[in-house]
Amino acid sequence: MNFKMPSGNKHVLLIILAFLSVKLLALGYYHIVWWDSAVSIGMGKYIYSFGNSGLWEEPRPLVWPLMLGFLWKTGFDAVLAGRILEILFGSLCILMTFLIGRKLFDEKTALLGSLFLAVSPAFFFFDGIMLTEIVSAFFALSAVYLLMSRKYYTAGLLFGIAFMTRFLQLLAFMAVVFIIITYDKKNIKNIIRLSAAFLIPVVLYLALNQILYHNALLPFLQQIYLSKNTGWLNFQPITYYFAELFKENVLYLLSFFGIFLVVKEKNSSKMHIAAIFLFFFVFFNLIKQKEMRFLIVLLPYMYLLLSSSIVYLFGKFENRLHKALLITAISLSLAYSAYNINAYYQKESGKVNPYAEMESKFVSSYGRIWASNPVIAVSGSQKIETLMYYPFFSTGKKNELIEGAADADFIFMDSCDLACRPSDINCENAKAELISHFKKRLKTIHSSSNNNCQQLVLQG
Amino acid sequence: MMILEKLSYFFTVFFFFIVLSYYFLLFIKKKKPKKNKSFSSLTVIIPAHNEEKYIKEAIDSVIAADFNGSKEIIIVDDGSIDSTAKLASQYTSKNIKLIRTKHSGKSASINRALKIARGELIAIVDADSIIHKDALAEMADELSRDEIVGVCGVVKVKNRKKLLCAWVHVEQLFGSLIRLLFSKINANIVTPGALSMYIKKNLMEVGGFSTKGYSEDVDIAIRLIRNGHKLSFAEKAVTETNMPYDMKGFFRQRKRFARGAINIIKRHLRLNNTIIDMYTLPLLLFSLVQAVIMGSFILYQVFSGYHTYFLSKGIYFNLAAAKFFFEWFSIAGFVRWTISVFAGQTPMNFITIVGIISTFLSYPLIFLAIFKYEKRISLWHLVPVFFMFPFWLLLMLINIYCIPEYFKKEQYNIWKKNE
Repeated sequence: MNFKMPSGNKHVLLIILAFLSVKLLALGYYHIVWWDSAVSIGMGKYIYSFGNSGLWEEPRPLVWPLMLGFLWKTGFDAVLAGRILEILFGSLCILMTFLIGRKLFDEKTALLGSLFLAVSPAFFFFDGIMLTEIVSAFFALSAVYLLMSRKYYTAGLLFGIAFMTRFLQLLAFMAVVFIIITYDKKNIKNIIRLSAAFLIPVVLYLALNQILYHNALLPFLQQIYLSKNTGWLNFQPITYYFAELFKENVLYLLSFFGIFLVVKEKNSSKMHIAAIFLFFFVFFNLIKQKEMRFLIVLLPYMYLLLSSSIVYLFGKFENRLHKALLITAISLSLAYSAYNINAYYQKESGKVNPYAEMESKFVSSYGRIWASNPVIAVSGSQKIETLMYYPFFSTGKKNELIEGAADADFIFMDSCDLACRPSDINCENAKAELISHFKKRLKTIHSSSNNNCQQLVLQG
Repeated sequence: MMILEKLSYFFTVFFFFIVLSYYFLLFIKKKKPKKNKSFSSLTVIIPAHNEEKYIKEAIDSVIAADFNGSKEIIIVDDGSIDSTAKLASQYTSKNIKLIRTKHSGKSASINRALKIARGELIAIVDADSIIHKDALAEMADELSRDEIVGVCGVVKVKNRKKLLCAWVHVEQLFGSLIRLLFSKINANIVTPGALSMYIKKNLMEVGGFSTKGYSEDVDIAIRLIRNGHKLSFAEKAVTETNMPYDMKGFFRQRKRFARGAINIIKRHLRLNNTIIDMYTLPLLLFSLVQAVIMGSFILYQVFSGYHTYFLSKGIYFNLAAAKFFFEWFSIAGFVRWTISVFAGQTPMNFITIVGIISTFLSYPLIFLAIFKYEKRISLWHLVPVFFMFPFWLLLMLINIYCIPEYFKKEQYNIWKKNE
């Protein structure tokens, strides 16, 4: 990779340095490990212990668990080191946004885009939560940058890695291929190069799936199954993102004007940015499960488009008052973003780890362990044999658990983890039956309640 | 055992052997080759790029320096955009020449001067350095020994009273001692740009200075050794160089050094049975690898401790935090840890003992270097020694920052200064 470091523009380094410092100093606000982050850590442990520690969920992509597992295997505290690593990836996302912006637009657009990204509440807050969005965004941004430098093989490989970090990054790859097909028709070779390199990690993953599950597509099929049957907790109306994006940046609608400018200009390189943004935006709006963190993958592109439109408007404004108004609007948008970052942090800092006691019991457990939550496994090196919550709780799942309970040496259970789908009217009864069965057949070594959730540790 | 634990074991043991090897070299006595040659002419080359602040005193010191024979001075102004050339032109005479070139790098500048140099000996003096009166004569005397074709001397920092330079000064003194030790077994691969001297014939045999990559002073030493020659160290030849005293200049210089080291590793590391291939170059590689791995790890440890004891409790800074950082960044923490090991509060094992011994062995070497070349110890020496850790950490981080250099195909010798 032969990219030019932004030595000419120290401002972006200042943005990154400020971002990095504030993020690291604010790490004390994170008191809990999120569910999906715990799964990634657990899978990482599983991989590096050859199945003797952690847990395994088939439908998850492997890159992030591989990184977190490596930290764990190396001897770092997987949670703290994982957070720091993700913060570094976040910083690199800002840098890549700047580099892409500078290459495609100009230094002002690049700088403004990277500044918007750095103070974007969702991006800022979730950088350090240890989810896959930011890491995959970095790989995708690197791929886009290399694509702009016409390094198709490396770009394809990085798109592949981005896809293996978060499956939805396939949309970014599809957007890029779409633009090449549409605007660069003659150059079929480039698509072949890009796709061939993209397929390298993907084929390896498919081969691994074939070996492990005798079905190369199983993780993808399970993802589709899960997305149909879970996630209802976060079902939101179609207007959700339109409204929530104002919290990220009140000027975000100008990014659509940025798309208009790009289309008008007919610059195929800039088209990539617009296409990636639109592919993600349309897709996320169409699916029912909506969470702001999902949009992190599109934010860098959105901010580049937004910045380009602001710079364009600024250039067009001849009246000093108009310019001053625009600068005021930018300043206010940044201030509002900062305010919303604070809101995220206030919410997070109020959280208390409900599993602290269960975690301490988990560390000294042994044998066949069942758990209703991946978070309790974060600190130990034991293996969770059965994930009680997976794929989702139902009457059928209850029967399955009761049948196999005799084999369990330890069961760690929080009744709230076994969430019932609204359509499943028998689910709550099934859950009560399950708990009752466990209490009768197994020895209860810990029992407590937290926010109407019953927490149990049972020994077989 | 975790990978990190294994790595720290490896680095600790390796570091122990490195320190031991220094002591071994310190105590071995090697007879120097006899003086069978004599030289009657010397050309001093002063490459300069934007050195208006120092060029005059550099030239003055070279003019004032003794040499038993004819002395020619060639100043090469390498595309300066300040008044370097104007200041240097005031000295031009029959024996002092000024060449003006477009900015093409230090090696290219020296090579340009080499083409017209008339001396049997070639001395390179940096334009931001001054040399002591006897430096040239001492070095020429060293070159009169059989097989010796290149010689370097002691490098001190002239502006050592500037805060940052106090650390660099101690580092340079230690570096000078190490060069002395290495030269005992012809393993010294650094003939510092600040002051070095060569026999012109041998210098030309290897094609002069390489224009590829930074650290041309290391490159030339390696090529001369590979060509079967020996390099020596003149203990009484002293140069004092002006070092960057602000962080910006310091970073720029150290990035160049780090990139230079990577360039050297890429070009010269090979499996061979010569001493530089078995000892010095692997040592250079080790220092880079160690910097990357241990630098990251130590930084993590510092932050992890700060996070555990303070950040996670909502404390950003208080007296306890100040004590925490003081102990991390000074020798006090190491001393406290050692006491806790011997008091049984910290588990004692083979590696902790090896770590303690090697660290305690390394400090006398630093003090020896200070005594040897300064004849006294002052607060300006003690403070950097006491707080050496943050300086090392900074260098490690710069090494990490420069890793992309390893993946670059092209290597350059053009440096920026005072621009």
